[in-house]
Amino acid sequence: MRSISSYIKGILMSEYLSLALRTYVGGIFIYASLNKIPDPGVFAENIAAYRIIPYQGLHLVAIILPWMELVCGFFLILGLRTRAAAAILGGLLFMFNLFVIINIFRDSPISCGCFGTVAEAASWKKVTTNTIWLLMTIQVFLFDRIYFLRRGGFVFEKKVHKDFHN
Amino acid sequence: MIASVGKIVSLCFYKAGSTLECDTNRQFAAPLLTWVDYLLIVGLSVVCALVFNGSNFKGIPIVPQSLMGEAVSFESPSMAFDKYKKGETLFVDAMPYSFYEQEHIAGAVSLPLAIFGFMYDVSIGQTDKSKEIIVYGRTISKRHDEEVASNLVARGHKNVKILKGGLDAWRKKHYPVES
Repeated sequence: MRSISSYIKGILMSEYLSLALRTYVGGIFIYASLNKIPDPGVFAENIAAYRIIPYQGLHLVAIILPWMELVCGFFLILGLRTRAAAAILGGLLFMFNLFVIINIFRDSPISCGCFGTVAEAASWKKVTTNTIWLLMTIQVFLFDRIYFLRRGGFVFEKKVHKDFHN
Repeated sequence: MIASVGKIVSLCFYKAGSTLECDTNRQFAAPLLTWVDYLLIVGLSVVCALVFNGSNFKGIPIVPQSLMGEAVSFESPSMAFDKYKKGETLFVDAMPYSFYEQEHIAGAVSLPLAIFGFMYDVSIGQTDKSKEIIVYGRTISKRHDEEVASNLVARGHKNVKILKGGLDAWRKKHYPVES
């Protein structure tokens, strides 16, 4: 008879859980990006409030970051290069958390700007939410096994095939 | 004869078993991850972002443009404080209102860029255009002071200056602030 811990371990390492999590995280990031992409000027203002990114690079980050969220979100939902997409989103979430924590300690009166114009305070609650999403991306990175275009050569079919036969 | 048939059959089973093992491995092993995967995602994002920003009517320049014209100059905190004591200069806080609420130079007027048009009419719209105005509000990420100062010049104000070092420099010299 299996113990409870082995059941929990089985669930946590399940590829079906990965499928659910990457669909959820992908959806969240697509939604977040769609609020920011149409008006990069407003998003630049939101990032500027954090007072971390240098002036010269602010616009570039405001233009590219939402698209990175969108592309990673779609890749996660569609099952394309999910490990790379999960790693990038995990890195972004880690960075967001760092920015929010720095501003909590600075006592900055800012909103997080995570979902465009929807005001949500940069708080410990936001850090907790980001950490949960970060854990989800780690689960996807480690255990995701359900994806499309793995066989048939999206980019590296031959290399994958060779590796497994060696 | 029987031995060689048996050998062939066992070889077939071995090959079938090995193929099955490979397929199983392929199904349950993590897919290969290389730097090309990251490059693909980042490259696709950058291309889409730049193309969309170029065609978006709300698009922004990739590098922010400096708005400092010849009409606006810097004022040192000590000089600004001398003028502050005389009470003839108007101090304008260009930071977002939440920052102004938290702390600002005592007596300064809030004129955040996001609602400049509205706040200008309410707070200093009726001020004499020749009166000296000292604007402050600059961070590592944004030059609020420059943008507000250039807007004030565009509205006809002839004597607009920027406080060098902003609120931090003012605070370091223990000049009066309020919240």
